[in-house]
Amino acid sequence: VVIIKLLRNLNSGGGKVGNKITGWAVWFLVLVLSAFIVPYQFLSGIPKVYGAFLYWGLFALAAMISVGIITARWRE
Amino acid sequence: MNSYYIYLAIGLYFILGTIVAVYARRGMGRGMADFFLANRAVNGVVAALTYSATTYSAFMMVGLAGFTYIGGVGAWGFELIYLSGLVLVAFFGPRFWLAGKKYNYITPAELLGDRYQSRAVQVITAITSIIFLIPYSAVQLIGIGTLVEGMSKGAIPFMAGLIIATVVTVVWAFMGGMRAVAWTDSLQALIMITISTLSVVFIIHRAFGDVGTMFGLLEKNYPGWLTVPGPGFFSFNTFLGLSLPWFFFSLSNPQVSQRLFIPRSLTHMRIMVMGFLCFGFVYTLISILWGFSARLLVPGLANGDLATPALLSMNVIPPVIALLVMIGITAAAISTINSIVLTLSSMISQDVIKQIIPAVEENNLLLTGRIFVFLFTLGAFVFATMRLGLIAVLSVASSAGLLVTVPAIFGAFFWKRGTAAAVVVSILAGGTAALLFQFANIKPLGLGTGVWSGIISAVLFIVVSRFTVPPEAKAEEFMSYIDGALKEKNAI
Repeated sequence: VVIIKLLRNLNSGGGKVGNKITGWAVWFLVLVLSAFIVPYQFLSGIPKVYGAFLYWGLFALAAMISVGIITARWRE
Repeated sequence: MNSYYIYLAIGLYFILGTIVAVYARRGMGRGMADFFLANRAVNGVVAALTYSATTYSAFMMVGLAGFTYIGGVGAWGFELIYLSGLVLVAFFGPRFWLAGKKYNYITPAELLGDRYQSRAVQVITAITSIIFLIPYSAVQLIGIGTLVEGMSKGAIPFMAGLIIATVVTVVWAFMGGMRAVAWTDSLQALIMITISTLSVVFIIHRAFGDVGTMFGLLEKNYPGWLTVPGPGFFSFNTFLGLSLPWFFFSLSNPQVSQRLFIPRSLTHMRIMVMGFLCFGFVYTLISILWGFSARLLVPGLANGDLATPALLSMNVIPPVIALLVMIGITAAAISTINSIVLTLSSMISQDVIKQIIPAVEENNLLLTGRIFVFLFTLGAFVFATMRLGLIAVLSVASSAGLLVTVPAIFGAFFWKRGTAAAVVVSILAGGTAALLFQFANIKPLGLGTGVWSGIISAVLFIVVSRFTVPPEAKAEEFMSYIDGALKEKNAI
């Protein structure tokens, strides 16, 4: 919930467009890098459904919610 | 399985799709934008379904299930990183859509050619797409031929399956262009998701009772399949080499990026993007569960690609379910092929022929495009009948080869200093590297072809741009328009 609130703040307000793109790009970069690093570095010893399987599922949901937040502001 | 039932199922599927295609072509105009982009007026739900059906091919229920069978949970991570590549559409989607509407672009290559003020850029981008996507289409046809032959235990020969798939592809794409393809794709996407979901639910219920029990058995009998690198298939380098090029698929694959031109409005584009994300997540989960089921029910197969056929031939699967799964996989393959041949036909007419003969009239250009729908499908058919190892190499190299256009696309919207010479050099050198590395199986530092083709094209695009002259006036005009229009639409 905290992350979603932060992302919604990133999406609103009167900041420069360039700053918004940079903010979102950094968030997505961290998100995607974590999808490569976390399962290999920190979850390789957990052969359970709540290991890499759950992490990648949550990663995808975070990406989907982020895209939903960005596109929600588009106008006709 | 009795070949009569297979022919009957395929016949019903073809008749249903043709009715949809005939309905879709009503009111179709005569222009290029009308035939190839459905006049940029596709509603969000249809756009989401055609985007999904185009993106997801027979690979999902055969290849991805096979990856899961052999390598475990890494297949889930790879495919979800691929899905998360849609975050790029949140930034590039409105830009493509606005530029397409303002400058009447038909193809992504045309956008690049105009933005960099270079016919060479347009022609080379189009030809690169053709080189990598025809073999990719051929592999889809081979998949259908092999599946039908296997399901009928040889009663329906491989060639008959190929001919059926080729005819279906040509009829629907030739008949109504993007309208027919988008609507038949929608039908096929619904077939794909419904049949695959019901089949997996049926198998899990029949064989294990519930998903929890299935994962419990995996944790007990195959714990390595729930971690990476797990059984060894998904080493980090393999995972990176597979995932990185596919992360950019929404920009690099023209049959997908061309769909950024077709929504009626940005609201409809939003429905397209979110609809695709939901479809993709569910379809990926289904394919992974299918692969895990195969791991538990038919262990011991040497090749992951055999997992789905082996599962379908088990006694636990009633023939009617196996038949439906076959139709679902066929729909996934055909919906991908017809979108590819339609896009490539628009590229050969708009990006190659029109550049060679600028005075060509639009109705002649459109006729040429429609003829190429037939010729490209025929080309894929001929490739498929040869079953050459070359096709597999080119098909595997397609994601790495198409990746080389991505730096130019980033530059078009975000970097005024990008030059036409840099685009040409980066695409030619990156594409050549992709082919060379794939053919010779070269893996510097153990990294896959896609990683290197991406690095080579990006570095060359930046370096060559520094030493050549950009089209400053066009860059200024293009980017100023896009920035202003984005503000109006409240897009980032």
